[in-house]
Amino acid sequence: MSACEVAAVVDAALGASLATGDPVALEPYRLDGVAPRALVRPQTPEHVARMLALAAERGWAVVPWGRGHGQGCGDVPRRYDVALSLRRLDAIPDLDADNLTVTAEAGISLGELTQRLGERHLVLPLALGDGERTLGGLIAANRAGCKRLLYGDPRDLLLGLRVALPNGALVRYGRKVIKNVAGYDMPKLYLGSQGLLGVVVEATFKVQPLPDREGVLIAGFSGGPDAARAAQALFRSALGPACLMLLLGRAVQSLRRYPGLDVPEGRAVLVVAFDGRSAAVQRQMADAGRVLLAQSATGVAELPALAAETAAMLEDAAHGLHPEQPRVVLRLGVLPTQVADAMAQAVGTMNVPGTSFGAVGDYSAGRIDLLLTGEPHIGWERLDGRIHELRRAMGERGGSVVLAAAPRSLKAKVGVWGDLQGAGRIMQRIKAQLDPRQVLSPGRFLPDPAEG
Amino acid sequence: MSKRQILVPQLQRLLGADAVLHAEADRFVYAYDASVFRGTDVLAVVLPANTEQVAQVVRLAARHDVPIIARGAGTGINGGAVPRGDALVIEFSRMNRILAVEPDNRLAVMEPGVVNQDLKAHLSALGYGFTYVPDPGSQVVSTIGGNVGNNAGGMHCLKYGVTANHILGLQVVLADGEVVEVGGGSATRPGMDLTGLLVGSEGTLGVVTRITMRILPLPETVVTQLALFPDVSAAANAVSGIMAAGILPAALELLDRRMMALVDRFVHVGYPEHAGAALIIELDGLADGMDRELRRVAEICNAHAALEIKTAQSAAETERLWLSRRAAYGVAASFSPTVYVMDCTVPRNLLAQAIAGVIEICDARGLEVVNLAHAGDGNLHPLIPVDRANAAQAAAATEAHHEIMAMCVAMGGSITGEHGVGVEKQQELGLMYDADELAGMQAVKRALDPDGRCNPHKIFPLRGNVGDIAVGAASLDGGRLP
Repeated sequence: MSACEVAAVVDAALGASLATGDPVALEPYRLDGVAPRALVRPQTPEHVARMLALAAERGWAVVPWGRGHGQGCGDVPRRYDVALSLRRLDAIPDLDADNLTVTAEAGISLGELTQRLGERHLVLPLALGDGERTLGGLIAANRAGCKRLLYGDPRDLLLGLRVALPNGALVRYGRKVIKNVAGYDMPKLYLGSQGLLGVVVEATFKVQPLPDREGVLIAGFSGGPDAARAAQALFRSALGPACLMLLLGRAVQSLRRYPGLDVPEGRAVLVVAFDGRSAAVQRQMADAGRVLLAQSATGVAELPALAAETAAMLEDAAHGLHPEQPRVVLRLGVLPTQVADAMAQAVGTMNVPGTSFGAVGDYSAGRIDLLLTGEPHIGWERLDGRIHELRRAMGERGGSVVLAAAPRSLKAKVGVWGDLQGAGRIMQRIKAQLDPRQVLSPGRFLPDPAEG
Repeated sequence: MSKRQILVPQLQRLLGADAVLHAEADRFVYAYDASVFRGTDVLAVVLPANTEQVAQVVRLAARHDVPIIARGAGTGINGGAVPRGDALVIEFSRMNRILAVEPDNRLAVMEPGVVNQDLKAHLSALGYGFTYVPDPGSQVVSTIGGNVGNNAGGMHCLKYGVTANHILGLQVVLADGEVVEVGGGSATRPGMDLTGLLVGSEGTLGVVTRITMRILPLPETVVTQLALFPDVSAAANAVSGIMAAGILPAALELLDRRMMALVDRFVHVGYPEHAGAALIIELDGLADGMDRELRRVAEICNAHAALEIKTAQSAAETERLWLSRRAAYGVAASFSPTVYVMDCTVPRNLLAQAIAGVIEICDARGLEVVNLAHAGDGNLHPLIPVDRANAAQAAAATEAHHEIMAMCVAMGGSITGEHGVGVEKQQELGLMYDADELAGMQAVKRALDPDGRCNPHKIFPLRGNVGDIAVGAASLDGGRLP
């Protein structure tokens, strides 16, 4: 069936003109070089459900799309017929300020949601700084905000979901209440599910009133270990930082270029943020400043940045490095006390002539994003041995290494996810039960039992 | 030979004779938990000492196609640990070791048999200044494993979340005996949040044998206040006002007029008769700005017609206030043969309306009702004193329960906030979730437990009126759950 025929079948089944097979329209939806046969842009949750039912019937493979920011994080698709864009589903059906909850459709951008909440003096603390990403993408990737230490991870704030299941059923799990133990906590299952178990069309989150005051400290250190020791001192204390981010390499250089920032000298930077009551923030900034200097900071700069600005700054530091150049992003997960060593080891292992690196570590999450840039002729696929070595080393500590972005040649050699062991087998069994026909993103995340 | 005769010697070989209970009196005890329900006679009760022994028991059960029920202290009130069918009970009182406490990583690792309160005492004795926050009412006896199985709540969920928010990773023995690790100390893990899925699954997806949890620094300051209001509605509106002002109290507990009167006979707080509702408000955090926040809370309460606001001035006064809340179940239980404890949630701003609805439903059936609520969470706990020997009253209570659950669901809430479904609310789960939604959950059950051996016939709706308090009453005379 040709691309145009697929689109025609979809439009006929959905009873609306929602699909296209135009190669130009399909181009942005390529994954690792593979283009879909049709792009479908549903306008309602029911369209999404009907699309999945149709795909199940026809044996098509569907990949859900937000704005594509996280799509690099997936193995080369085994089959790919339909790119399902959620961007037209961008309404906010319910903003209940009295109950401190918001229900929004999956395709809304986090920037738009943040703005709409801000008009009511509210904030979804996950959405900071990633304005272009979508709510659905945040859920699929289980992406924590830079202030997770204070506000929690998506699992702490997500209350409910509306999902189109792979069999075409449109279901709702959870409610707009903060306590609910009726049946299985299905919304949690969808966090980090990479669009594999259904297409999230709507989500309900807890929101917060905007804090009275926010404050940010930027401390310079001679190297990563010193910065990590300072982070540990603050993490262990009764002070309640919202954010403890370590920056190394080009992430530090990027921060130095940020307008209006006076970043203290040193090869490593620690960004510490506080939110809350004015007096409490003031006291914490003063106490934390002393802790940082006692932990051999070269200097501490204070800036009264708004949360969104701080987050955007960190986002830039992590991801804004020469995006035009080929790059590899590794995401490591370790314990907080392992962050400094793991960062050093990752930088050491991946130190390839002709590349440069930037690293951002969220201390409390034990998450390190290591970004490598370099010239196209580097031959990224030759990094396979080093990635295996890093995975072995992190595996011995109980950690993980995900290839969050990479050229196809490298992905094909080492895989994106690493060995998920027993947990991976459980995920695979859940996938097989909820999506027996392998409609959603076959091959992109879990090994596909049906197709070997 | 009966299954018991076949299994007991094998279990004794695996675990040692003293780790297998199979005498009639022992089995009788394990037919019950803290609910009103009586289950079937169990095959045996095993007391494993480690994960490997649990896995051996589960594999043996699999070979003989015998259901398994993981059990903590049996304090659940919805019959989640009550056996159905010829089951083996796995009891965790010998797996109660705290394996690691790492304040630098804000985590602790333990076996499921650790008692919640014992863990807190242990953490306190270590002197690191860290604690484990979730504090279900049963914390003095209930185990961490049981708290995980039911995703237990408590008084401090408003600010700190429920058990699930504090559990980072689990070691689980699956129905086929495979031991797997999900989640872990690092918050950064690829893939689905399986830990979050398993917490609250009431032992129906596997047997948890090790728990990695988050511990948190103790707050610098804790202040407890009591605010009295003319009625529940004024108190509930004050709760919304406090939250809307950007104040996130550690706890916001509500008692209604009848509850205050009952409690005051035992714990002499001095609740005045003219007050219609009490709010116990706890604020915690840094000392800086706390005075201002306390003043703000008082202003908001006053704006909602508070009769009186006082701040506990001593540890003893604080303890008396909290005791008046924690003693509520015990006090209510002393007035009737049974207290039907209900647990449901509504959006926070609908709390007053929900409590009014509860009273109306009970009044219409001639039932007494006293109300407690985790007000900040929109979590109601109506308590209905019942004499189950009075069949008409028991039937009325069952009807009232169903109607209250339906009301909460219609208001956008849930049939259970922190106690779980167990056997009591299997039918009511159908009020919240339709056939497609239940099928999605059951697909997950099939994925992890394809033969349905882990705590079978729980959670999902069955035919027949399972959660009938009258059935529970009948069972006291030898009747059994269907």
